[in-house]
Amino acid sequence: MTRATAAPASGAIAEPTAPPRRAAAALIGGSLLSFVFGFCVTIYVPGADGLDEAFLGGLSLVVIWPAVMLWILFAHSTRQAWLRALVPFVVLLTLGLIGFLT
Amino acid sequence: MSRRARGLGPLRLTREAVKRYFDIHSAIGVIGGLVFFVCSFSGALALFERELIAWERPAVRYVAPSAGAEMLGADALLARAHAHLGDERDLFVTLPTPMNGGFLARAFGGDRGRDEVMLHPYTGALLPNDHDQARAFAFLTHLHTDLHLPRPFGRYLVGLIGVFMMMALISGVMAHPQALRNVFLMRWRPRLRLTLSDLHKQLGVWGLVFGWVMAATGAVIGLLGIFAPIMVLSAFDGDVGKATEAFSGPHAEKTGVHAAMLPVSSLIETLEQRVPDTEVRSFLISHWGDETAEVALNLTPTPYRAMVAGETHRVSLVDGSTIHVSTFTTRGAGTRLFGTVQPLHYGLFGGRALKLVYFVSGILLSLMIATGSLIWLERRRAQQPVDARDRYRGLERLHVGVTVGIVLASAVAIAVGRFASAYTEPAFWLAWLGVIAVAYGMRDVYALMRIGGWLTGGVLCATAAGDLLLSSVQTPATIQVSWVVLVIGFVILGLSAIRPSGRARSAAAPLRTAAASPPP
Repeated sequence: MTRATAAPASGAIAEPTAPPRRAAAALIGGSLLSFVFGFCVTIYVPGADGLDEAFLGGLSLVVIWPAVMLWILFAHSTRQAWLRALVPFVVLLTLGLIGFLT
Repeated sequence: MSRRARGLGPLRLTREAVKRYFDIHSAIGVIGGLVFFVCSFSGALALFERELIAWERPAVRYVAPSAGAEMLGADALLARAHAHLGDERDLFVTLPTPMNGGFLARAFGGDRGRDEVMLHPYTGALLPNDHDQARAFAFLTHLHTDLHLPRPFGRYLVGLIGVFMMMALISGVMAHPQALRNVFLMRWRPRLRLTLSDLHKQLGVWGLVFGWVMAATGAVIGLLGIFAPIMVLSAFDGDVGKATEAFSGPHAEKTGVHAAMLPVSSLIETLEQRVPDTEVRSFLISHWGDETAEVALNLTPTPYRAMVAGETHRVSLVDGSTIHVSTFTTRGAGTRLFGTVQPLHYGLFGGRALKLVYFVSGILLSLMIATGSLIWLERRRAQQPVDARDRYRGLERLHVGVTVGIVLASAVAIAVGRFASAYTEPAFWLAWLGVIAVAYGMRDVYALMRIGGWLTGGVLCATAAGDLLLSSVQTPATIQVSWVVLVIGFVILGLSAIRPSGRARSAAAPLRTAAASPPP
């Protein structure tokens, strides 16, 4: 546990402690994961027409983006952060490509 | 059961989780706080970009030449616009309103580029509409939408800022699990930091939904250019033409075969009768005189009560048949949701009263952002040894300078834009940079807030009074705007006159001056 995380929460204001590498994983990995999530929503969620699915995919990716980045930032290490980003990314990308190509 | 075992707040978060959220919230706020503030504050002003055209540019104000005079019809005005601009290019027309000025026709496409005229709706005479003339609200809108960066990168950056604002809001909620319990707690003394902290939390709680809606819809609008191609790839196999056609219908090429044109005013009238509680405020004419000629009539619900964006009816100018209707309302959930993005972001669903609520909420959101950064900086500075405080003091001056500066600079831009529009942009930048420079030179940087408030209020009052006294053409709409500006100016002057109590000031004083800072 870092010095900052050990400090009490009530009112103590500490230096931002998210290490740059974890922040990079959240930014890059979170963006990739969100986009591929939107891609999968467009492919798998039924809609009225192609446009409907496209809008739904776009909206879902924007809404999920900050939550995904926060989830990755909450990893205990940089390695875990990248795992949180890349494993679902690969799974969703595979699912998306299967849906897109079939 | 102890609080530690139960966890904190309604979500039962552990202390470590709360601390983690707090760190993330602080990091996002400190790194992005100034840009968030610029986007939020300029967005509050950008709400009125279209409503204030006639107020900003007295040259395009119009009044009836005599009592009982009737406005010319759309067709007569259209014929005059064609006489000025030619009829070979597409023409986008905005119908006259007291707020927006006269009949505006904008020709584009072809080799001649873009060209526009504004006509007096009663006489058809050309209004001196200099479209290159800088307008303060258009300038501030561009600051909000693109941060004055080249398109589309500025737009994408603003979209990303929306995503990070959502992150800051989520982490802020998680980092303050007791905020709901203290929802009415506001300590005006004994220390400045407590006041700022309470203000930040109050504004955060009460403005959470508004902030979230603005951030999310702003992110969608800003990032549309990035995610649309990916969604088009997956939904339409990458065929952009197919995707465009799915929304706006088929597009015919000009054939060169001449045909007689139906009067646009009768098409407008027919449509407004067919779709009740709506009106046409603008339309786009394509291929005028050709057998493929059409008009795209933009239908707006009156009086702005729809939560979903208006629809566009493409009607043939040859036989009056409907070619296509672009609408967000008759499709599935995705399209309907997307259709709510613009009305929600621009406050288009409740008339002018709602816009004023949006404006006040936008200003309060900006205040929340500014107080968040200042709490962190002030606290950090106080925690440092005396010789290490300059770093935070400099950042504090930058924050106060930028935030107070943009407020004053916007007021200066509105004043200069109203009376000497050619100097709007330099006046804005000079005022902003000037305030930042003053912030670095002042001993008590927090005093700049009060001075900035006086100056901003004074400039706004003087501008409104100047318009009321000096403008030769006044309409009820422009008089109303001047009075609103005057009232806002007086409110700012009044707020700036509020002084903290003696106890609060004496407690805050050591925070403000370098020489008086006690050793840690």
